[in-house]
Amino acid sequence: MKSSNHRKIARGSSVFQRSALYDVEDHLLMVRGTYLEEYRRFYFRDIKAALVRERRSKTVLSVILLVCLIFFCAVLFLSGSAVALSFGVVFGIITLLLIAQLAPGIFGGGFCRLYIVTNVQNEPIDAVSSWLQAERVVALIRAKSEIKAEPSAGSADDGENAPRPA
Amino acid sequence: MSEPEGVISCVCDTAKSNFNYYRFPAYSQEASVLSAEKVVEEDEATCYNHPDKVAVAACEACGMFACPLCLVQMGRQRVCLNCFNRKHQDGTSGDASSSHRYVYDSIALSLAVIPMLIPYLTIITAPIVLFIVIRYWKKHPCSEIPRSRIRFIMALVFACLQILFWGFMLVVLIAEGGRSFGF
Repeated sequence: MKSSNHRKIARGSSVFQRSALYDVEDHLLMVRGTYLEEYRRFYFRDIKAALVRERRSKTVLSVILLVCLIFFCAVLFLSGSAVALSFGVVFGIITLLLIAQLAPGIFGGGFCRLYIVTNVQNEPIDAVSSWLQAERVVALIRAKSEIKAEPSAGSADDGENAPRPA
Repeated sequence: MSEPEGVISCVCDTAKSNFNYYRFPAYSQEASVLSAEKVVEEDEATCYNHPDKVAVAACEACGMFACPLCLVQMGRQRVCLNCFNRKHQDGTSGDASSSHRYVYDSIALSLAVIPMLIPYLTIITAPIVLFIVIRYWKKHPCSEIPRSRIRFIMALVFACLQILFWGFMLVVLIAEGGRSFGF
């Protein structure tokens, strides 16, 4: 079980906790937390649906924040005073850290939230924050769940009874 | 609304967000209902909790006969509900079924590194780090995710250096004290 069959497919972090999503043979493993890890397993054969919700406001706010910070840093650097320059360095580091944190979401098709739905779970996946990542995870689930379901592939419905998201 | 390959895109009226909804093969499969057969013949083994149901296996922890309703998969073992609860409460549930785990190597490393910002704290934290490393060395990997012992090793190195430093300071203080008393 402890072999290297855990493949990390997404990672994310907030101020309070880290999270990551792993592809482990027959299931997805979501890990939350740093010192106390919490695990959620989603077996491919049990995943009924995935819901991806766009978070446009977060994308817009992130872009505004980054533009403001970059503008502020530029003003501090161009002012010429030594004090302003030192403040510029501090704000520059903060800006670079924020860019590293927000760039995958901004340039990966915008921020979103992925939910995985099984018979007994409807769990938000914190590790997936960008649209591109979500599509990659959905493609993986589709590929793996179709392999599992091949013997009964003829029984798949035509999509008429799909529940509509709220 | 068209539904290409099970994807539904819509704009929610309240949140004004776009949604994509993807369905997978499990969506069209009906959930299987767990059931146990009733006893027909008198000499059939019966479930410990349900005397009218046929036992299908013995609990791998206590050996009690149990029906499918009373058996739970716990890692590689199939155990009855009583053993499942007991093992969870004892913390002996094994590695495969737990949903929470303390990551002792990360705790040890943080406890070794962060207090260095206020060095006096390391008098207390260094022995604690040593204790954690020795106590949980064999429990590695603490996490479900495969990882090496590098965090434990780094924590051990930092803790040993801190203890050596404080030991050296103690020796210096004793020597200074001895000299001031004329020994």
